[in-house]
Amino acid sequence: MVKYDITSINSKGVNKIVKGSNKMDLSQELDKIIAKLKARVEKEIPDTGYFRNFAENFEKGKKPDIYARDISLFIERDEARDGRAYLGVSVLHPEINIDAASYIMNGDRNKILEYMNNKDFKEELQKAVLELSESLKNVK
Amino acid sequence: MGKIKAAEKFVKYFIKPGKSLTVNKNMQPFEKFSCVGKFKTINQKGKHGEIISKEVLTESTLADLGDASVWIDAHLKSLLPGARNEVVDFFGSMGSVEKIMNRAKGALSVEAKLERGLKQAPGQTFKNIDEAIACIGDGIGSRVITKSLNKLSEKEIETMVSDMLIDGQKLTCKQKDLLMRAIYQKNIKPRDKEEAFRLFETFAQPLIEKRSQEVVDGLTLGILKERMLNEGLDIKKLKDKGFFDEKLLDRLLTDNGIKPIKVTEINNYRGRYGLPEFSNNQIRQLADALNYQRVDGKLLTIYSDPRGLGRYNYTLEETAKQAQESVKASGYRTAQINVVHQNGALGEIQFRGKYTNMIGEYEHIAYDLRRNKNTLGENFDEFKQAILKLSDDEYAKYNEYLESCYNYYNRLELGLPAIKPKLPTRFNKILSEENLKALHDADEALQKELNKNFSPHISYAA
Repeated sequence: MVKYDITSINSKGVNKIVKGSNKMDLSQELDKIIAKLKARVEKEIPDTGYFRNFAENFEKGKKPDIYARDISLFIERDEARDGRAYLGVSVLHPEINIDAASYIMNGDRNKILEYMNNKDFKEELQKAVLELSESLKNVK
Repeated sequence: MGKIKAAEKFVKYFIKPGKSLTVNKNMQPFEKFSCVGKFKTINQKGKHGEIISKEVLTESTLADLGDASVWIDAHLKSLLPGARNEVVDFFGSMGSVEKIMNRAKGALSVEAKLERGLKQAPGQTFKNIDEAIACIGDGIGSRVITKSLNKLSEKEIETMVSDMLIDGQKLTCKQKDLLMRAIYQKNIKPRDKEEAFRLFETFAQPLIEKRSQEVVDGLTLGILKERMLNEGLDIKKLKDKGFFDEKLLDRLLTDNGIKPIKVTEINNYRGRYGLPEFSNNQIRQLADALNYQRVDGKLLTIYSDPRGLGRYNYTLEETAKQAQESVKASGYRTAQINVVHQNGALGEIQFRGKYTNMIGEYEHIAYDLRRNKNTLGENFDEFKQAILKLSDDEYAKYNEYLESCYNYYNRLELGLPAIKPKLPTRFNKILSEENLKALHDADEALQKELNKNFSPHISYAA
């Protein structure tokens, strides 16, 4: 699953993107990807059988105002349990092609939607993003 | 062993037959230990007779480090029984475990680590013995050897292949052909090599998991138990997260025999075309159990080949150095975790099968020799010369041969068809894996014989 368009980025390219990008409000941008992902969970995760992994990223050209190049909320099929998926968040390193990712929960379509609709979910996600961003500072 | 002339203030402390450390004649007590790195320049002859200047530690610094090494050696030995019992209690009753081994780092390897640590320490100084101990890291090493699976029949392989799904689809004829070539080690075109390996890894995943499941489930429960005890992890909340099989979690509430284990790092080493000890799903299960928690303020790290972890679509070369380092050129293959034992000792536990454990005992010799790390006896001299003669390109090819040997042994452990690799004819015959094993076994027997009547001692000049 490709979650980031990394094909055209090199170290010079990263600098260009950082300088020219619009800073955005982390909370607002998270709201956007949560809404988009929920719509896709509803549509794309079947009761049983195969489905493709998918993800929603921040709008192109917008750099998060934290130590990261991009943030992605993703759904990854659980290969061991039919009809289930992992909901996770991934934060892409500002300069190199590695992300720090954390799985938030696992469940079927309804469980995932129920979890994402919970009032505490946004706060949990925001906390995870900040922790993952911090962890990238230790990456060589 | 011959006697060595003692310098005025320093003496040789023989730890093993023929192997000694420099220590102070009046060894300093550990409570007063401190060491400031002092260096001197020496000139050495290079390969072509040229003079190469090198900075080395002075004898006085080496003697201080020697004193600390002897003390740390004794300290680690005192921690060994507790750590051993903990590992045996944890893994010993598992049906899939064949053998458990433990040992404390010896004074010679402690000294080598202290030398490297001192060069990197702030101000190249150890202020006290705790700083020296901290740079040793995993002082207690344990190995958990897991049992091999039964050999698969052709029919079983055929059934596995025809049941296999990639992205929810049965294999195409081309994929099936490629996979069968990979399973039976037939010729594969270079351009198909990566695809064939990915198919092969997917095919082998159930076998990898069958061998390691008990260990991974045990570790998962131990990690969660530790988090319950020390972080107040709420099992009900964990159930809501849906990561784990509910029956597994219920065991945490009902089985009082589950022991906690504090894990600080996981490495899942393998060669580029080798299968891992823990599958990607199993690494994910452990990552879920650990919740990427911070341990003593440090981020817990998991180093595993990222090609198959699902989150990436990058090639190996595009990923971070740390992730790339989990893939070893020689095919070195083991899953290992760093732990803090209940008695406070830092330890490392390795998981592997009996054949890969066997080759792991001697495969590193070539690597060590290329890095000028030579603690081998005279019977390795010819092997050493042959290894050092190899150009970097030839050495890379030699590593490919070693990796194929690792893969051969791992195939035996998984019950897969296996063809023993032959040393390519371009290499000196002494470099064959069979010969390396024979040299290693002979050296072990010799050391055993020498150790019979040996006890550590200080040697003074005659």
